[in-house]
Amino acid sequence: MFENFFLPVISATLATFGFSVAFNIRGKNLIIATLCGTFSWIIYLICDHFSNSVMMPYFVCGVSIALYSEIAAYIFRSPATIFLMSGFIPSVPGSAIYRAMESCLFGDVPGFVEGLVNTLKIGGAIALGLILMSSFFRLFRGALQRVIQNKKEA
Amino acid sequence: MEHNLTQKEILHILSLMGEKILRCGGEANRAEDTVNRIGKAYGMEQVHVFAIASSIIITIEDEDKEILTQTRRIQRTSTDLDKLDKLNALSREICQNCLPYDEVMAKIAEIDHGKIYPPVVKMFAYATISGSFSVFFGGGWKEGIVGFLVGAMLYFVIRILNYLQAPPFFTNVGGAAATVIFIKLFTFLCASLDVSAITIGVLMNLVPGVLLTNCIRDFVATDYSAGTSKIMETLLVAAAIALGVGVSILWR
Repeated sequence: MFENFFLPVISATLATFGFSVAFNIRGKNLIIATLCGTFSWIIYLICDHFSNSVMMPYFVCGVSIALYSEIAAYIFRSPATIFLMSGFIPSVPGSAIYRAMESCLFGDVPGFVEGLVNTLKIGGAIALGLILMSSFFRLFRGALQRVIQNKKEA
Repeated sequence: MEHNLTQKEILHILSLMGEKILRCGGEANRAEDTVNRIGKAYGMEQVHVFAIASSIIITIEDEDKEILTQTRRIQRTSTDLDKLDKLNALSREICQNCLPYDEVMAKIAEIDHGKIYPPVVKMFAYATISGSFSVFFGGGWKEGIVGFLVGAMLYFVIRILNYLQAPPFFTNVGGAAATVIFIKLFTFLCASLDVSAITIGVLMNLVPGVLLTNCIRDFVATDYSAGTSKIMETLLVAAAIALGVGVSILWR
């Protein structure tokens, strides 16, 4: 339990915190941005536990990051990008990229292709999750604005 | 809303805001959206903006069909999300109250001199990222400590390269190569280290998170030209890191 759940969550939190500081986020946004990384990685680990797929947990993770950031942006009136940028860092497929590059260097072509495909699978799943949820929020905000404008004109 | 700004002053405010947002790491669509809103709030008949990561073009037209336009080239950017947050708040305020010219300029100057974390804190941030990612990618406590130290060293390397105004490609190659060399030095002290976990952990520092996020956001906002240029830049960064690691892994 500790090795498989708490250790990754704690290290993901610390790493997100580090990135938030490197991006010069200050004040309460620092805490909110850090919690975005924690939250998304908890969601990922839970999905990973109940699913055999590689892409599905990452997709859900991407959706949860966008959902968290947009809601936080709405509540605290800050740009959603602030929370997105540091929140999605733990889900970057670092080890897949590294394996691909390592196999490429040592001439292991099947390993290279496998690593590359894995990277694209994971990256694509996260990006699709983010795009889906962000588009949904755009739609939602646009509709809200139109309703407000119609009321003003009426 | 009433205000007594000339068209020139309005254009100056618009181009300053757009430029600052792009510079501190905001996406192209945010810059366009902000400029549009502020322009409309000051009563411009038409506002047309086009922004990509490296340039912004603004044209405004008032009721008398008087047209003014300005182009700004955005050179080096440095990520400062606190500034982005403050600029966002300022643009909301301008849209609500139509602030006078001098007040807007004073507020922008104040935001420009906002606090940034001192180098020591940034160094610890790099070290924390590296240390925790080394553990995250399957290392033990030993890998965590080595990652922490190498991360701090990587910060100095990047700082020196930035001070020399090295091109971004070279910064990434140099940073990646230095990382692998530092880790090799540590393996002389302790032979049983999991080198790949530390390498991945430390190199996560170089992941272009801002670019990737902005690229996705621009695609969502159908700003394809801005998004595509960011994808190319991301690929170039990835290639640079691979080159840096490759050169120093093969060198024995």
